[in-house]
Amino acid sequence: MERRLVELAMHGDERAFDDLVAGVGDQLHSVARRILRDAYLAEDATQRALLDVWQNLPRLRDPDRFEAWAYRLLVNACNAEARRDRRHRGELRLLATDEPVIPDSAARIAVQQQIDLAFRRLGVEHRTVVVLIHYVGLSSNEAAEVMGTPVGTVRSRLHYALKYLREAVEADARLERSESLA
Amino acid sequence: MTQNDEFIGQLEDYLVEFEGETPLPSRVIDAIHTELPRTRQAKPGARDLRLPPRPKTASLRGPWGIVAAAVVVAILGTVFLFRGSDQAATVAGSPMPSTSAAPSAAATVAPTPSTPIGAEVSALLRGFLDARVAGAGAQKYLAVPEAEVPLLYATSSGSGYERGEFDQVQGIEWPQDLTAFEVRLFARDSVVEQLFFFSPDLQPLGLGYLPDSFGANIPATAEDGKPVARPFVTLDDSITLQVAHPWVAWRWEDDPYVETQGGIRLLPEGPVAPRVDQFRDDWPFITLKPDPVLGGADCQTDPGYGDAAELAFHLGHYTGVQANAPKAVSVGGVEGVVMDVEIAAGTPITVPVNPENGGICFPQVLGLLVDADAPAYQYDNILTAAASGQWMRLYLLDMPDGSPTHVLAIAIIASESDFDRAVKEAAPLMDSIEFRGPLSETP
Repeated sequence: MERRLVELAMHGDERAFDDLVAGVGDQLHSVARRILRDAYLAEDATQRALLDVWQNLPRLRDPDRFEAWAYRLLVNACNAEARRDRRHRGELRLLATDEPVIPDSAARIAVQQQIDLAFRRLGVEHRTVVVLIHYVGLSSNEAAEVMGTPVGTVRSRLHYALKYLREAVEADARLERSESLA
Repeated sequence: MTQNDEFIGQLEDYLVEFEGETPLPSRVIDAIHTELPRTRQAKPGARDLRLPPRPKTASLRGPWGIVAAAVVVAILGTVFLFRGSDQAATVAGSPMPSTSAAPSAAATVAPTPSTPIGAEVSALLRGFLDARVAGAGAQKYLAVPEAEVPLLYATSSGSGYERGEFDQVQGIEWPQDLTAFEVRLFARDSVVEQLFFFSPDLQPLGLGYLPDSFGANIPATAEDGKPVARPFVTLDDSITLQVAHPWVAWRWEDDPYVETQGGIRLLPEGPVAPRVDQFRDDWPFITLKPDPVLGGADCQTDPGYGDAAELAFHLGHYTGVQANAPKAVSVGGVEGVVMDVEIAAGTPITVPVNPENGGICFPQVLGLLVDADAPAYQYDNILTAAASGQWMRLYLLDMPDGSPTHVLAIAIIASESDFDRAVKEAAPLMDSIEFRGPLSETP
């Protein structure tokens, strides 16, 4: 992210902020979608986070850390949305029809659906750790800074989240094998 | 590939592919555009009090701004405090309540029917008071670190508490289920009164405490009716100020992202003023800045002055600045000068911008008089901002040789109408300043 844009937005330049939103908005929204697993909540969280970014930009210590800071505000907004709306409604998702059909696509989709079922059952804190590290690509230390938690907490949450996901997927796979044998 | 690697690969594929492309919808961008002009930017260095999460703003499914405004207007229209004797709950540490200590009447303004307190909240408060009387274990009832609650287990003279009681305080509600409580703790010869609040949004669930009493014009902590001062340590632990109501010091919090140069702000006079946003830029404030010369990345840092008096002269002749003649002053045993500075509201202030990195070069103390709400414009590496019209009492202190700081600036900033009150109320705070550590080390 261009430092100059951040500097200008820090001083109230709305056009510069528009450019910042264009630069990070999609990525923030993608992260929110994955953390919250709810399209509407993710939109609200992203909107809230971006307004928080605008409001608090003048206090940003180092413009070069804009993106990491924006992630922190997004995670805070996601937590707030998750607390406010604890709807656990199922959401059917249609796969895009123009996705290329590849030989292992059925198996691949089945695995993804197994992971999805388990992922949805994780708490928002655990989903956040998984998304920040395995989707955004942050290190444990960076994720800890974004989440405002000790790095030990991040590692612990990641450990338990991955253990849960792996076990859930393996259990589903065992169930499918036993059903096909029966 | 190990099983674990394979699973991580599958997980990462899922995270990328399962949701697919999720660009930010244009309706969200439109909603942000709509909200932006109504969303004031914080001033640099201002710090946020830890508040419960705010309600959704400008939600696509129902803007909260209108609702919140209506509720705030309703609160402002009916706001008052109430100590409801019929609802006071007492927790006794000894069978006989103290008779010598009596709470102050400062908070009583007018009675109003009180709303019932839920059993869960009532139990929380009773447990909290029990623990404070017992002298241990109060933390588990708090949503803030126990170090942030003054006089938790004893009065300022070290006396333990004998009993406690609480009442709901009316009129400090917020449109997010916030309820305020006044807690009174009785020691043998003193009574401590404190304001706590509860919100189901607080995490961890517990009692909250705000040093500014959530904007209410009553002390968050008082002992025998007098506001309790809290030390405010700043500039690498080198300076301590004692801050008491009506001043409030922003909570210090390690944050890797935002500025930690914080503020000490003066609560407004008059009736209870529930906060309508978390940045009360219009309240008078005190700030301290070491070496208040040109700032910004890679900007000129040579001030071109020798001491505080020369810096005062330099600032007094800056374009657009009106200042009176500096007078000699001593603060905390350190000598310097004091002057009043003003730049007329709307006066453009132009500063150079470093073309290499966009860093803004600025005489920092004059930057305190810039209107942060007004747009700033940048053209050809010159940034133009507008003055707020606020007044500033500026202390410039010559720090001893050997100190890493050459000149320390202490600024009291207020609107013209608040200026006299701010200066008057700041007197005990200025008198309380103590220098310690490297800032005031003598060679």
